[in-house]
Amino acid sequence: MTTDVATVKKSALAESIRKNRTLIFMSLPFIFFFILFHYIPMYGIIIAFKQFSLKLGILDSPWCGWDNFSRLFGGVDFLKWQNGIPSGVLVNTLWISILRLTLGFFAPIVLALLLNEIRISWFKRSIQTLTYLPFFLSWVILGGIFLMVFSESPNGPLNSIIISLTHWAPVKFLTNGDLFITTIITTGIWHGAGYGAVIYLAALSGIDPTLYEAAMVDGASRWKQVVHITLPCLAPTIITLLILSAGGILNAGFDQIYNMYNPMVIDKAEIIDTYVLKRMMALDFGLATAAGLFKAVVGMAMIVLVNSIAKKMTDGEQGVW
Amino acid sequence: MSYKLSFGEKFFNVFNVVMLAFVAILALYPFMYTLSMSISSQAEASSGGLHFLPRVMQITKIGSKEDIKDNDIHKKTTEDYQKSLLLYAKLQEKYQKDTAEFAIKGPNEMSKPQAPEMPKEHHPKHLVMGSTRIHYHPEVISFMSYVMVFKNPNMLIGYTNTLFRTVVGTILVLLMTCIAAYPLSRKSMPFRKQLVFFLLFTMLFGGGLIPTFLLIKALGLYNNIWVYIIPGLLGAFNIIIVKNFFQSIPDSYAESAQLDGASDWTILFRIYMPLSKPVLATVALWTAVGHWNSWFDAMIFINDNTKQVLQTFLQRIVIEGSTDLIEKGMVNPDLTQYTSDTVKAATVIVTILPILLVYPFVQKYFVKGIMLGGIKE
Repeated sequence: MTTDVATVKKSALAESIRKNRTLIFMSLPFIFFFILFHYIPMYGIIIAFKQFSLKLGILDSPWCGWDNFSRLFGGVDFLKWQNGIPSGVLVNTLWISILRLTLGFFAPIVLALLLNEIRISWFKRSIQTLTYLPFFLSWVILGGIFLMVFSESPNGPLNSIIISLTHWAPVKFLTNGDLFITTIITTGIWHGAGYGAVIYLAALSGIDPTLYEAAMVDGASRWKQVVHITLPCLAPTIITLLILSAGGILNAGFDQIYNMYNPMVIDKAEIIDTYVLKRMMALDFGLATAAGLFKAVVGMAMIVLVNSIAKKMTDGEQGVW
Repeated sequence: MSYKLSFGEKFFNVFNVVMLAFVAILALYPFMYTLSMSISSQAEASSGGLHFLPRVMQITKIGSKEDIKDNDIHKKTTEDYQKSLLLYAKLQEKYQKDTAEFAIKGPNEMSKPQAPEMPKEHHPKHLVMGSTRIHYHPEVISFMSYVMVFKNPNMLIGYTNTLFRTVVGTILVLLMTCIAAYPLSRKSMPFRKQLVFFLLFTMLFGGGLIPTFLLIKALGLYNNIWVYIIPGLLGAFNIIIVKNFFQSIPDSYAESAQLDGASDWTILFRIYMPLSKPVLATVALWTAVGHWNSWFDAMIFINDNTKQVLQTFLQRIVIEGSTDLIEKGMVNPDLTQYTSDTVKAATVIVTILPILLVYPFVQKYFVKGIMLGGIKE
């Protein structure tokens, strides 16, 4: 019996393959591509457990167990403890990332809610277009612009105003570690808020207008409508975006930081991605891969974790999958 | 609206409009500053304050009447000083003539000429703390920074390579994405779910920088211009959104075409792709912008200067403050016409101009793209 079922299944599969041979042929390029450019590099992760040398190559380099990881966590750059206070690359990454996830997460929601209350459509569209613009420019460009705008010379546009209003010394937006983080977060919000708002506006336009009509008949004010209709209707979008951003907990924004930082702020602004690049340039491939692997695993674990929490809290209704 | 606005709501509406207008100015100002800088002369660029277009304006600290008065006094004293300087020059000339005449004629015929008094040195008040200058337009427009940018041979190399990767890259991405999305959109495709997972997993996890770098080297793509195109040909995200759009096309289209003897290739190119113009436009625009803005691959994988892209040259000039552009492009020894800052600003403008020019017209496709991809899956 079982063999019969198996053969029937097998022949059904053979039949399906024969029938769909064009479709299968069409999917061969992308299967090959993803194996080559995505799955083979995943295999390359074994470098993290090897004493890698360029001469010997990936396969012939000797294994070294968790050596690279103990060098990573035992070294002075990645994570160090001083009087019980942690610091280093990992702490910088988490701190910047958490600031982005909290402060940066609300900015687009607030912007979308404010835009949604505008009744003059040309005004709404223009504001949207303008706030959305920075998202289309690379951090090479934006970094260049901000290095000029936040220039620490007394003649820099921002500093000359501050000086003339307050008589302070020029504010070190770019060379003081903590101020640099503030600059990074602020310009990061400036960069992404317009883009984020578009996603929420799309969700807002999908809300059934009869809900608002019913609320108005019941005498609900605009504020009450926002709290009791708009926000609950936005919740699914907010949760989805939160889950997706959780995976980026160790992404502190490589493009932006690489293009804006300088040796003076390395203590506070060196993040995992810039550190990996530096270790690579120093030809310490094992350590660089180990740091990259640590980041990838944490990222994946965070997405899975937050997704399952979201699912549990909403009885399986919410979640990316 | 059938109901009356309360005072609070009216107040909120006004506040909201003002607030959002302020946000929009904030979004725009860094670009205006850069544009203003790029056409500034040396004197203008090195004076502080906000730079705007298109007229000179001076304001004082907000709310301080004293400063406004100071400013008026300053303006008047400056004018007076300039007048007295002119007068001094005339008197000086006359004094020299008179001295010469006196030397010939002697003290009997004329009195000894008196040397004119130097006007008191003038200290411009507004340069002292207390007032802020708003540059509404460079006092002297100078396009010399742009001349410097275009005299730089790297800019031509960068533009050519960036255009190459943007045009060729975008066309190939569209083609390959459609070919990948089509089989995944057909219900009869075996192992469809597994293949979608095979794609989605690459969005969750990746090998990271080092393995990718070694792979690129092993494939012979290092220092090869095709490194811009090939590794980015397919992305899970693009395939999924195109696949979803294909699935929204009714099956009956494909079925009736199949009855007429159309192959899957014909169905894809003649039916599905023409019907999917909106989503394809979105994917094309995102891809094109991505290619235009890419710099990391060029920085890591390309060693050869003639293969570099615009963004990496911009990076060298703007971020690393490399001044070789200014030295190489030296056409005009007149240093009053530009500074390294104005050249940086001009380079930024030249780089973003293509995006700024098409942005208003294609913006709606970007918005559509976010709605397609951002929410579902």
